[in-house]
Amino acid sequence: MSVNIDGKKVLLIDRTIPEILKCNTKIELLMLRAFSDNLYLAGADLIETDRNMLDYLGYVIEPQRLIFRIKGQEDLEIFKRYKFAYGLVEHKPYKGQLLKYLKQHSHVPIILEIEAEELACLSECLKEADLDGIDTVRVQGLNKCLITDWLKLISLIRDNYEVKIDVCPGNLFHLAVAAVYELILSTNRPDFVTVSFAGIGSGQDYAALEEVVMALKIVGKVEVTGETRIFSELSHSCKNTCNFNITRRKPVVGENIFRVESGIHADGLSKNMLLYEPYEPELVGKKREVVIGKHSGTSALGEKLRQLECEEKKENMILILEKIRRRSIQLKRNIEDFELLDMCGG
Amino acid sequence: MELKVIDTTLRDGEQQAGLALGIHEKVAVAELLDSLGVYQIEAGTPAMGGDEKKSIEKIARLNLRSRISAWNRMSINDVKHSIDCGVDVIHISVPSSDLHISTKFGKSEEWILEEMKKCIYFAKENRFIVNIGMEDASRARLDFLVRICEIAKDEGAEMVRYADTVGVLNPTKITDDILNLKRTGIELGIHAHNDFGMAIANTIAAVYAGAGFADCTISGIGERAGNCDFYDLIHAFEGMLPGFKYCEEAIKEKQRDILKILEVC
Repeated sequence: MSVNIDGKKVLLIDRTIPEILKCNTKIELLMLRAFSDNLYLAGADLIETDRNMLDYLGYVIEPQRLIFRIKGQEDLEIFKRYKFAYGLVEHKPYKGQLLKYLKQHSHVPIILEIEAEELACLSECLKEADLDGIDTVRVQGLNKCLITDWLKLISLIRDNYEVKIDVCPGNLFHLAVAAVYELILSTNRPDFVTVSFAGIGSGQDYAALEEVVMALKIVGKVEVTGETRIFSELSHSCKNTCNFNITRRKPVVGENIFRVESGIHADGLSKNMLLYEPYEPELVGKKREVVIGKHSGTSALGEKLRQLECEEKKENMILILEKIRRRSIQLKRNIEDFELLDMCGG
Repeated sequence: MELKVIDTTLRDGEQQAGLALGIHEKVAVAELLDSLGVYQIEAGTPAMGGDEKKSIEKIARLNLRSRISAWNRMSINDVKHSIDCGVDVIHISVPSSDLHISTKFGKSEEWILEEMKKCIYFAKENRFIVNIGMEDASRARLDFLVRICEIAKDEGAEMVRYADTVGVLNPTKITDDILNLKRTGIELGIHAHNDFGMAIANTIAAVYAGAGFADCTISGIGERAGNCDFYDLIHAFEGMLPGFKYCEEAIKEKQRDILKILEVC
């Protein structure tokens, strides 16, 4: 997707597949390959991978678009074999020797991943880490940080170290998408942001790729090149192939987000869809569905009856709406088309 | 920091497609919300009539510790329905963006302000507390929002709620807007939707900037991607602000009970 604002690019790194494989190793191989291809289509510039993922996929395509996580000596053989875009190592005391080796022998740039809960802890980690020979620092976690804290952190790194910056906020308090969105649009933006589809994470959740892309496109009015219609398919794969629960209200990809029942809103949408929706459902591969229930009004009912080719006089509509309300409450759900036709007939 | 939670599960939450609550269910949910110490319960829309109006009347008669409010379009007739219910607070929704004003009313901003005045006057004359909701405020011009706030304050409204009707806010914008609107001297509230996954961040930003009231729904239910999730908001504040306590565990337990009543997951 490479967000390009005022000539400065921010690259989007996706880490969904290794996170999925940590929780579920019984995924159909072909589906996983298709999923990986679709992540690129959806806007990911680079995909994070590890030995587990490459073993699973059984091949390496376009290593120059992959970031390879090196967990230990046992990963070095694969790492040396391909020209990945980056090698990624966690900042841990016991990985000191590994990092030293990579700094001397790596044929690709190295990203050092530093995880912290508090800003103060992160400053300490930066001081103790030897950043010489490191290309990029990935800052991960910082669940409590608001945008002002993130901006302070970016300034701190830029002022003191000659490294690129990748931010990967944790989503424990549901602040990750806002942090990524605001950072990309700030003047001191990072070089990379790391996200995952639907925010999937095995230990902690991350900013959701699709929410970040859509927020940039619709709220920030930034030109993004990712194919957003693919989100619906990716969501389907997550749910059916990878067994991840995508809730019905999940922003951008939830099953029910374009189901409309409220009378005021259905009426508004018939005049101008932008009144009560931020974007057209087709943009994310979905369709709007007007359903009839307790909150429906005459406008939505009239439209539904037209779709069902059922003619009703205006004076009857009020009576039908009353029946609909009573029946919806009894059933605790909306009214199906056949039930509506019964009401009109009876 | 004081946070006054307005729970709108029974109004905006229930507008989630497929949800339909009867009198008994709405009353039971209101009692559970009251037991959580919610400052205000937005109980529904009396102008819908029928069981909806009866349920709001019944909730208002329970004499709960939570204040009970009812939602109204900007219409004297709607306000009359709320008065009939005997609620504590009458909430009047005022379209504030050019898009909403032109498409829904085809009238001028001056007309909107005059109608708002008439509705506030009518409700105040009947001795009700009035809250104003600026519908689609996140897509409105700031100067018009300032005028709504100034007039609402002059006419005696207690609070003005900034509604991010289609969820297009971001924390920097809501911070700027709340700081500007605070200068009018009126109490402010925030009503955030979660279309881009930023409802919690936007609500927190608005509260930090000076909004004293925050709208939520149980489990974030509501239209499209839903509203600001009550539990998640409290969880975030408890995690971020040392000393902020709002019985997070109790919310979890009552949320389970409420979701059972709503029959949603």
